[in-house]
Amino acid sequence: MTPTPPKWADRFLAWYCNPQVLEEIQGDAHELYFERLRDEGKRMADLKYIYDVLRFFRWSNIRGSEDPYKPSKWNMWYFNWKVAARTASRHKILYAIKTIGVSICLAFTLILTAFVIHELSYDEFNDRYHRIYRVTSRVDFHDHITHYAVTPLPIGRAMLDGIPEVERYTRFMYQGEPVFRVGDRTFYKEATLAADSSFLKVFSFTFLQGDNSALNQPNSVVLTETLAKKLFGTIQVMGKQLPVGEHLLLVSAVLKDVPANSHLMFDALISWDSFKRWDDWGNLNAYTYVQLSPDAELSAVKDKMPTLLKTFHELVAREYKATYEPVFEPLASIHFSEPLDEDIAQKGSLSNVFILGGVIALLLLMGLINYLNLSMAEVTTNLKKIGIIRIFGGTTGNHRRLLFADGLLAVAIILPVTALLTYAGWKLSALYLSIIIDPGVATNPIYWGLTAGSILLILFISQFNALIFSRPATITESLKGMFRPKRSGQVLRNILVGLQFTSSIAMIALILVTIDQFNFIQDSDKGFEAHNVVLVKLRDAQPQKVVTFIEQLREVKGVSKVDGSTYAPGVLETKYVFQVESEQGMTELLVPMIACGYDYFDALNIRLSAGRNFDESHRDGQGAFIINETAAREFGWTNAIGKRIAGPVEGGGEPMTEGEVIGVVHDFNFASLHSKIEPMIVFLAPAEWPTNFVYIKTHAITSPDLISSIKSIYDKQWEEYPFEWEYLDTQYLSLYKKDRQVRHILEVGLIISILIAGLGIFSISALLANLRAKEMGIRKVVGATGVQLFFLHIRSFMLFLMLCVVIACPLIYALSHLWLRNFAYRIPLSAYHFLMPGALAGTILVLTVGYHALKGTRTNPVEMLKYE
Amino acid sequence: MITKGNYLGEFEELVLLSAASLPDAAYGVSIMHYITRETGRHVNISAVHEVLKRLQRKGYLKSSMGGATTERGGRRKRYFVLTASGRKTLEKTMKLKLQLYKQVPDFILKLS
Repeated sequence: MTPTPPKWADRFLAWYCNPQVLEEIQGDAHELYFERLRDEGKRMADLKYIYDVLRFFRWSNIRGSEDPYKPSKWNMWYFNWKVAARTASRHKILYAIKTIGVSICLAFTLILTAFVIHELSYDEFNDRYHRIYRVTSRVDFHDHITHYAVTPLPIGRAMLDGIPEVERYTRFMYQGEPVFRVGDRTFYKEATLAADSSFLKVFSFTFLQGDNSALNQPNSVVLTETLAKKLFGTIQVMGKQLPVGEHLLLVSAVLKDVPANSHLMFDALISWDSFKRWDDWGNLNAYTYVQLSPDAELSAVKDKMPTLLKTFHELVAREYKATYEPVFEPLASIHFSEPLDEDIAQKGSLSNVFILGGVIALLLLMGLINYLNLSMAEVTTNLKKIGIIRIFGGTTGNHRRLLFADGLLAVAIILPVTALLTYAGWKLSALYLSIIIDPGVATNPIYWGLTAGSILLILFISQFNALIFSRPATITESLKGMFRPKRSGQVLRNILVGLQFTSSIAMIALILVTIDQFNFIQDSDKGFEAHNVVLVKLRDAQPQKVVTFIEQLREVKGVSKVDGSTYAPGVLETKYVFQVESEQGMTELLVPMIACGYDYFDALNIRLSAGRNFDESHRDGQGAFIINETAAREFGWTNAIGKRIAGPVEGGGEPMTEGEVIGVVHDFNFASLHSKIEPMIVFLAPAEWPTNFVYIKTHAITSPDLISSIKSIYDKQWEEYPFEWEYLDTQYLSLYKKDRQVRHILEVGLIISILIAGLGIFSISALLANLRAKEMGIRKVVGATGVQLFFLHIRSFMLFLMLCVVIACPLIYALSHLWLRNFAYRIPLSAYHFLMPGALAGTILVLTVGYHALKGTRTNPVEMLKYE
Repeated sequence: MITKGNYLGEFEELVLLSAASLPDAAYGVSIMHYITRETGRHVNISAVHEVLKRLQRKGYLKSSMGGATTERGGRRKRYFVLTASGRKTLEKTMKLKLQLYKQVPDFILKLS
């Protein structure tokens, strides 16, 4: 028996070695083995054989590597990349339009998607959000129903005690924006809640300092990170003393800032027990939340409510002649529910989200189609060259790989540019458009899914060319004489261009509608003059001081009217019970009211439609009422003057005053136009009533130091409080914050869509001009004028555009209706909204296409006709 | 093709020359033995294989499998033949070396 090399080494070689080279390697190794066996003996031969096998263990010999004797396929890829890069650099502008265009669209849609997800994910940062419900109060006064966001103070406690399914409850009251003092500095723009100790256990806010027992002690205050830094410059503030309003509080915890997608917004929390309260069922002022046990059903809780609230129901029926019904709102749905009375939640509207979804789809479509159009145009112009390459031995596979590399190169440019633009856009929109998106959205799995989806879409679109144009049929076609795009290809491109036109037109129409609606709101007859009115907010409205303040203001040059009132736009309005005259005698109604001075209507330029204004010479005092037209209508009065009103009635006692209506004013709308105008009763503020808002009507042309002279008068009265003022029109506009965000988004969307559409049309027109150059030359030779050629070039686009205007109409109608539904008072859609976008698109079209048309008419026909 | 120009490394040159000098008999083991015999250098068989592959990728050698053998378990050998471009490159390198060599002053050569 002849000796053999070690079996295991041989097997190892056979295992790792590429089968293509195994035979020669093994052969050589064995040959050497037998030589050594003969010369040096078995032991040496074995060792050397093992050594050789180990030395053969190289990358190029390992199983799975390609044929070592052929050039690497990576070389082919290298060439393909090089070709793609060369094509790109040859048409630099076209390539930039193509890739950057799609990047802009993609970035914009990514940001918008983040915004939409932000809107849809409100309050889901709370660990137990699906078990937390807000208790609200629906009160039926028989003639009308009011739905309050607040509840009686003891209701939470009662539910915890009486219903086993309720695991926890918490309640808080809105404390407004009290004055914080640190040293000699004051801060007065911080929304503050007085919250139960369980507040931090029900809601999941993140603690930077302290823990969820922070609100257990009276006179504790919990700050957000931002506020702590603002007040103290650091978050190491545990145990520091902080005077807030009249209280001296101890800082007991610091929270991370409230996520932007929380329906509750606050800067500071004060422990509930720091305040003395009338903790009674009649006090309907607390916001109450209950947390159910994990497996509890809400219906079980609802079933137990009537027995639990039996005595309260009786109280309501007796005192207010009304029925009370608790309504439970799941925490995550509060953001989108109808705004309630006295609601302080951040409200959004689903239709805004819908319309943004529409914008996302339109823009993404536009960007992708634009990309597709441009790259198809690019490939079709290259078809002849590719045909020639084919003849010289290029295979279908090779060509496909070339186009594949081309697509990958584009994606390699698009993705980083998109990432950069998204990041920049995210930051810029927060900075300039006050659209704050919670950073938590970026880690939301749905968002990642959608992002990955759009990247896949881009990948697919970028490979579209590779799939279509590498077919052998297309190539042979291209070589037969002149290139003539196939009918189906033309149809496809027409559809794509048409879609692009249609979506641009729809975008333009949408933005026109929103701009119109905004102008309508701003210029519509609100019933009062907001221009040149300065609103001063008083924290300490001691009647004595207010009267002196107003008297002194009247002396200031530039001030025309001054008066105080209990009400300002955006402030939670309180309704009071009034007794009004009706056919059945006096009926009790809950009506919003304003108490003011003699000059109030004059300062706001509110006009009377009947009767007269409050007048000192008539000795109007308590007992003179002015109502608005809606009130007259709701009370069923045709002639309101002289009708009797008594009120306001507080706590089931006697009406404060009784008297008659002396005048009716036109409706004036202090709330946003999202809601209907409500009835309103106005009367002169009794001397002891605090009027927290002073309205100062100034002359149209005022000296720039008017505000500072008002401030100096203010400081004389209230040295200890900061001077807070605003122009009434800015205050009024702030009611439309969410709508303004949508408007900003649409404006940016408009610019982008016009840009993309313009770029797209421009490059398609360039392609068409190129393809028809010869035709144009012949036409010119046989006598067509420049003007005729110009219109010939433009005509084909124009016909197309008109078709798209028609297609866009239903889209425009549906989307703008969806959005306008938000407003109680809205503009009607007119022909303008349908035709104007078309006209605008037409102008853009003529401008972009006209360039090529003009160029065509001005070229010497010889240049077009000669064949190179 | 991604190569650092059409240069030949020292060992590559040696292998190429050996392959050229063994007409119809150039395969891994024979080239290895040839180098050992002619230069006294001991080289590993795997190194020879690696360089042969590289030379073929560069287009200087071509190869084909020979017939079945008796001495190595019946396994076939891969024979290497110089290509036209291989011959040209070889000539160019040799010429270049001679040209440079001729310019070296005499006394230095005598010293060594």
